[in-house]
Order: sequence, then C-alpha cells, then structure tokens
Amino acid sequence: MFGVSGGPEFKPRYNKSKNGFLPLPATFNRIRTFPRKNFLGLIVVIIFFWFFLNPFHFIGSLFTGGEFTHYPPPYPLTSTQTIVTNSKYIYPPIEQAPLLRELTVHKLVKESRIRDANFPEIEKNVITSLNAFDDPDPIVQKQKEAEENAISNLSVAKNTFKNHDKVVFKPGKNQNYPDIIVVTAVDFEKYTLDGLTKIVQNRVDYAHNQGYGVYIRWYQEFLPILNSLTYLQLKEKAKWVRIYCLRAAMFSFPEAKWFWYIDQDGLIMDLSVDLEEYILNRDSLEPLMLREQAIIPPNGAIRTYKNAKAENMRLIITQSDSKVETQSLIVKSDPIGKSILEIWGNPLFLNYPNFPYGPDSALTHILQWHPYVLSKTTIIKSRLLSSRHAEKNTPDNAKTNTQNYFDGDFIVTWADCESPGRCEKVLDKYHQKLKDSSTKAT
Amino acid sequence: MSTNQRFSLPYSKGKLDDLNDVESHSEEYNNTYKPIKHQSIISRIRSYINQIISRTTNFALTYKKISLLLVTLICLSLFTSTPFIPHFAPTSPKVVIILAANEGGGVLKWKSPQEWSVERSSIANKKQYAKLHGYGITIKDMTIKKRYSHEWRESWVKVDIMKQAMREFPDSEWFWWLDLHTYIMEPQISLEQHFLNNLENATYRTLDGFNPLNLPTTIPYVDYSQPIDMVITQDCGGFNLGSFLMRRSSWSELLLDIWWDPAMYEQMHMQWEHNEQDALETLYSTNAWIRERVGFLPLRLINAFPPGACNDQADDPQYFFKNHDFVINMAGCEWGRDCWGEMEHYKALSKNLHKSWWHFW
Repeated sequence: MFGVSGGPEFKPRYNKSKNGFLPLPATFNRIRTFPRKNFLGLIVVIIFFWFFLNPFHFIGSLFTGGEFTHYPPPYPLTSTQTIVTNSKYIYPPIEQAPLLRELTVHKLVKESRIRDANFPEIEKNVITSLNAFDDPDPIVQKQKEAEENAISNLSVAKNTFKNHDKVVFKPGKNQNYPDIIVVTAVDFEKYTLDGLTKIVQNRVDYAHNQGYGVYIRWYQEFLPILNSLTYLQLKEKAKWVRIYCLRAAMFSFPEAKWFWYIDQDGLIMDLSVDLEEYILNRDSLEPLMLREQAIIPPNGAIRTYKNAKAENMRLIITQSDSKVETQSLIVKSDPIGKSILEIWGNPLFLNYPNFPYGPDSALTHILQWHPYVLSKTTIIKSRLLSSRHAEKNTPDNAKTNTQNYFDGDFIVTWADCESPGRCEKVLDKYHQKLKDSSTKAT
Repeated sequence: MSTNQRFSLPYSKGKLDDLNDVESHSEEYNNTYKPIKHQSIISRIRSYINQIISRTTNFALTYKKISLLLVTLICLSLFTSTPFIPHFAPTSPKVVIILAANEGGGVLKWKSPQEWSVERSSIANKKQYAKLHGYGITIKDMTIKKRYSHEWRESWVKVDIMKQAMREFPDSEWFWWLDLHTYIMEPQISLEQHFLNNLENATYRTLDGFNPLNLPTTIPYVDYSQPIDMVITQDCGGFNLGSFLMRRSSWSELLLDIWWDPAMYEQMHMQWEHNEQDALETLYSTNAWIRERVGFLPLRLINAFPPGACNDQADDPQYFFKNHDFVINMAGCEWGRDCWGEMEHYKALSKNLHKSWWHFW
C-alpha cells in the first residue's frame, strides 16, 4: 500500500482516502529506485575483499598479540657470549701448550667450595670457567684482556684458553658450509708440543683434502662440566670429554650435517677417503650396518634392529670384542642426534659409579634400556672407523682380524697405550708411516 | 530371466514383472497362475529385495570386468590405506583426551560409593566435552599393578599410558592428559580457541618469571626457536602433571622413552617423591633438548586449584579457581579433603554458571 504511487510529487493522502491515514516518510519512495544489480555486485566485491585480501587482519592480530615473545639465543657451555669466525678449521693455538702446562689447570679454572642452602653439612667442590668472571659488556672485556695480554705470554695463553669455548663458525660470503666436521679433543698434559702438532695437523690435512670442517678443543676446557680435577687423570672418566666436545662442536657449526669424533689417540691414515661416500650416504651405510648385532658382544640379549634403515640412523658406533667403543663415532646433527648426545652426557650418568668404562658403559646402558635410541643407532665393523694398533701384528691375518690395524685401513687408534711416553712413540711410528706413504704418492 | 521364459497365459496381465514375482514365490503359488493381488508387506519387501539382487547379479554377469574393478576398489578403500583412493574411514580427531580413571582400582581398599560417584561425574564431563568439540577420548585404567609397585615404577604408569594412547590414535596430534579429579568447568571453550591456536604467545618458556622450585633459569645450548611439543603448568610445588598436553613428534617419543631410566632412578628415587613429575624436573634442569620444547601455561588456564590445595600459599591468587576458569583440578583431595564434596560443588557451580536466563529452575 505504501509507496505504490510514490514519486517526487508525493502528497499526503489522508484527507482524500479513507483507507490510509498515515503520512509516508519522504525517503520511502527511494526503495524501488535502488539499483539492485549493483547492490549484489557490491556484496560480492566486499566478500571477496574480506575473505581473500583480508584488509583488517591487523585488528585480529591486536587481540591475539601479534609478536612472539623473544627468548634468549642459545649460548655455549661456559659463557653467554660468542665470538664469530669464518675459518672452518677451529682449533686452539697448539704452540701455547707449554705455557698452559706451566700455568697448570689450577690457574685455568676457578675451584671453589660451596655449601648448598638445603644441605649445609655437605660441602661441594665446584669448578667454574674463568668466563664466568667476564664483564657482561664484550667490548669492555676485550679491552681488559688486551691489557692483560700486553703484560705476559701466560695471560695470553690463559685468555685464549678461556675464550676458545665461545668460537662459532659463520661462513663468509663466498664460503660453503662444511657438511662434515672432524672433532677431536686434545690433552696438553698427555702429548708433547710435537705430538699435539702432528695430531692437529693430521685432522686439518684431512679436512682440507675433503672440504670438511675441523673442531678441536683442549680436554681441560671441559673441567667445569666434569666438575672434578681428578677425572682427567682417570682414563675411563676422561673419556666423557668426547661427548661434551661433540656437543660443543654442534653448537659451533649449527648447520653442519654430520660430526665425526676421533680421539686424540688416533690418526687418519688415508686422507683420500670421502666419509660421505665411504659410510654416510644412505646407499653406502645400508650394507655396512650390522643388524641383529648384540650390544654386548658376543651374545648379549639386546641386539640392534633387524629392519633398521640407513636414513634413520643418528649415531654410528663400533665395537671391540667385548664392548661398545667410542674413540671414533659419528653423530648426525639434527634434533634427535643432539638429544641423544645430551641424554648420554647427563650428569647422573657421568657420576654413576656402576659404569666402569665411563661413556662406553653409559651408551651400552642407554641402548639396552631405551628402544627409541637403539632404533636410531647402528654398529658398523670396527676396522671401518677405528682399527686398533697392535704391537705384534702379522699381515697374514689382515682379512680375518676384525679389530687391528693393517696397512690400507682408514684409521688407526691406540687407546690402550700404557703411558704418555709410549702413546707418543706409537703416534710417531704411524705419523712416519703416513709421511712415507704420502711422499710415495707424490 | 524375463527374456528366457515367456509364457502366454490366460490370466496373465501381460506384465512380465508380475511373472517374475510369481516365479520367485513359486512355493506359495505352486498350483495357480493367478496374479497376486493382496500381498503381505513382508512378501512385498522380499520380492523387492529379490528384484534388486537379481538385477545386480544380472549387471555383474553382463559387465564382469567393471564389477570386478568396482569390488576391488571398494575393498581397497574400506579395508586398506592404499594411496590415491578415497577412504571412507572416520577421520581421526586432532586432540585426544586421556582420562586416568579407576585410580587404585579398589585393590588396597574397597571403593566407596562416593568414589564411584566422583568417577562417574568426571567421566561424563569429559565425554560430553569431547563429543562437543569432536575430540577423541580414551579412559585409562589406573588400577594398582604389581609391575609398578614398590620402589620400582610407582605412578610411572602415566608414561606407559601416554605411549599407548599415541599408538591407539595414530593420526591425532595433541594428547591431553587429565587426572580423575578434574572437571571441565567451561565446556563450550575448545582447546584450539583457548590456547592451541596461539601457543607461542599463550605459553612462557623460560623460568625467570615464575620459578617455585628455583631451577636454573638458563642452561647452555638451549634453542628456543624449536616448536613447543609439551605444555605443562607449575603449581606452588613445581611442575604439575595433573593436566598437561603432549604433541606427537619424535621429540615426545624420545622423551617418553627416556623419562624412566633405571640408572637415574637408582640414584634419585629417594629425592623423587612424585616420581615422574620430579624426574621431569631433573631432566628439565640439565638437558637442553627438553627445555627447548616445553612450554608453560599459567596454572589457572588448564589446571586451576580449589582452596585447600597449595595450602601454604593460600593467599596467592594465581593458583586458585575463579568463576569462568576452564578446568578445575581438585589436586590432593584424596589426602584429607572431601573429593566427592568438592566434585559435587564444582559440578553444581558449572551448571549454575551456564544456566540460561530463561530457565527459572
């Protein structure tokens, strides 16, 4: 009824008609003239903008709180600061070894006795790194060190020793990131300067040949985590440094794929081996994996998985005739590989008195109790990665012997040498051999 | 069928369909060839079914290859998980609620009527919540078992149940553990809406804000850019695992594997009063990989306490339930408090809070 005769010349009709008496509002007449087609099109356009281009998303983010909270970045073992280097060969200045020996470990770390608030009757020895006394401002700290360094060579050695933990690799512009890092920890109290040089040079030579990175640390740098000065004197306890050194290497080369730890009591005898082709590729590793191999040879109850696949492996280890060995092992640098190392290096395992062979026993324990870790671990033949030096060795049984070193093997290790002097002799012997073979080749 | 037999009969109406019916019921109409006029419903249905069967068999016989292909496809789709074929299995839920029920299981003492009642209310509440939001729910029996008894693995059953649930729901992402003495007070809130969609901002990862245990606030190598795989809360006594979530990942698989270790347990079981809770605290304080993926929620978000829990800090409002908090956890009510009373109270309160204005009773 309303607006039927609407139009610009609308007039109130209540006087004329008996049916209607209300005046029509003036705007009603526009109801019919509104362009319906355009209205539909407008709705489509609005919906399109709203859902596909989302012009007001900032309003939504106001309520959900757009920005993430910032958490502190990861930091190395003993300091919250890092020093960036673009050299992929990270090793301590070996020539400082005599100075460090002169300083002794007592000057290189800080020992203190503290009492726990909860158990005041028990006194604890705590070893802290000198990094703990750094100035929070790296520039001030640098000046302080420069002043100290000007006074004596000993402070130079001390400061480089302490700062070595902070070194992190960051590639330069035209540099490739190394996929594989050779990791070694060296003990300046065990080998002479000459011996240390040979060991480090060997790793660097190999890495240079293959385009890998090198990460070398002093054994003594890990005293804060071992938290005992005597541990380095005990042969089995000192082995724990391997795990912590590997973990530190993963921090310094965050994007590398594989980390190969080889102990200081060992030399790489074949510098032409490409580790990736030799072991790490899926196709290379698949036939090398020992399946259904007892963790404790020869007939331990727990064995490696029969259906293990090479691409799932995070930890590659070897065995001697009686146990798992760790003088040469490979870890993949991904979250699981790192987690396995951290589980392995748990202080509760480090100080557990029932582990007679230190980290070797701990690993045996982990593999036997934790099937998930076992499913990510593979054992390969010992001579592939850690042939052992033997005093009396006849070349006749080169094919049947599963443990000892024979000419042509990749690695030689001599972890069983009785005294530092003897170890050095073995090192010299193999170093000479390596030198001879390399001169022959050229 | 209709093609090979054609009878011209005096009483036939000339409709071959009728003829088929007569044939199929030949027992009843053995002697007469009269058309069937008053069929019973059952026989009509039966004839209808027979018709369908005969048609499908006819189809199958004439198009053998096509029907064979169809049958294979249907079998593959229903009974296997072959790729490139649509599968009509029900989709698995994103979140699964794990409810620990039947605590004790009446092994050491009779279960009282109150205990039965508490259990019933708690289960009904979670079931209703799961149904409302399409979550999965699995109710786990916490009967005291010998293999978890004594110094060995008491209350570590939680770890085993978690693993079991992850196997049971192989495609679900989040697993929400709830103790028996919990009650979802605001069932209309979904977990996604509550915090899962905004996990990074809803949680805090470092302990420098709230640290009741005085755990070390930072340890080396922790990389907080990793995703959150476990969501827990802290009460006045440290971590609280009465209500927590875990995401399926290789991380959580490894944690569930490592959580209980005999060598650690042997050294620590005298200090670890709350077993798995304390073990997690120990792991958290030393292992960077665990710290990286644990996120904390404020207690009241998924685990609010009633007055009576956390008695020493009764004046600290951050622990205690206020109206419209999501979940209440009557933690520790079995020690000296009245579980049934509290459960009934909060059940009534929840009902009251959600009473519509047009309901006068």
